[in-house]
Amino acid sequence: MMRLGQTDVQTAQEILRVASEPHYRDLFTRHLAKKGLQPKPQTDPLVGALNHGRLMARCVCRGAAALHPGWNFAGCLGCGRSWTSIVLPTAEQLDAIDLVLSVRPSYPERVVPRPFYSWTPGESLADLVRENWRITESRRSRGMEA
Amino acid sequence: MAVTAYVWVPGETITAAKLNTISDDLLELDAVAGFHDTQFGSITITGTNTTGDATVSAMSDRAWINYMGERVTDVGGLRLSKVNATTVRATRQSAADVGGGVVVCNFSIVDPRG
Repeated sequence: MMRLGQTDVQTAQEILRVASEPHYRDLFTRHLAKKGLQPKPQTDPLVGALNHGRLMARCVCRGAAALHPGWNFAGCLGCGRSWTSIVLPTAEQLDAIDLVLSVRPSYPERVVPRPFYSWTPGESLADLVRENWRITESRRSRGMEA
Repeated sequence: MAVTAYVWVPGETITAAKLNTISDDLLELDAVAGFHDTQFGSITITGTNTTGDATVSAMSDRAWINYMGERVTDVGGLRLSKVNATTVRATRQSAADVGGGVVVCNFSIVDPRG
């Protein structure tokens, strides 16, 4: 888990159940061999995102790669692309994003407890605040707890 | 409005309970955003039709679940609507494919790591 403010964000450890970066690399290699996929190391950096309370990045194949803030490896098990350069927002930026996202509804008892905890690269804090209002208004209009 | 849909990370295990939770979440999101596509992977469907005269199986590495008022998806040519966390109802456009009509199937979502 990665702790942002009071929020636990899932990382590659929880998403793929890998204990370490070498474990992630090993899983990736074995998976590609099993699927007959060729590894495709990428030179461009991979830009991280938050999706439903998980740290990940979209892949151009429309798949995704799980990320860990302390690891310099990520791979898309869907297509074989991999990255050793990963760009995440700074700690200050992540804290600011968490401040806005953490007020959104969450469901600790659910398997996916934070369905609204998402941030896409390029979204500004102002965008996220506007989205908070829309979520609140939508829920109120349907008689749900805002 | 761009409320982000759940993105399946290849290699991530999606249990039936998780799928159900995501579905509920997305139904809630649908009311906000109107429409969502969500990508899941390696969904295997097996089952026998209600009259017992045909079996059906399908597998897709890239199944798309579309939410347009009802929970429906197409997997391997099957049109699916989810009944509950462990059961989907599957039909094919050509009824002959399944020996006539509706097939009630169990579904499992395969962990690509085997």
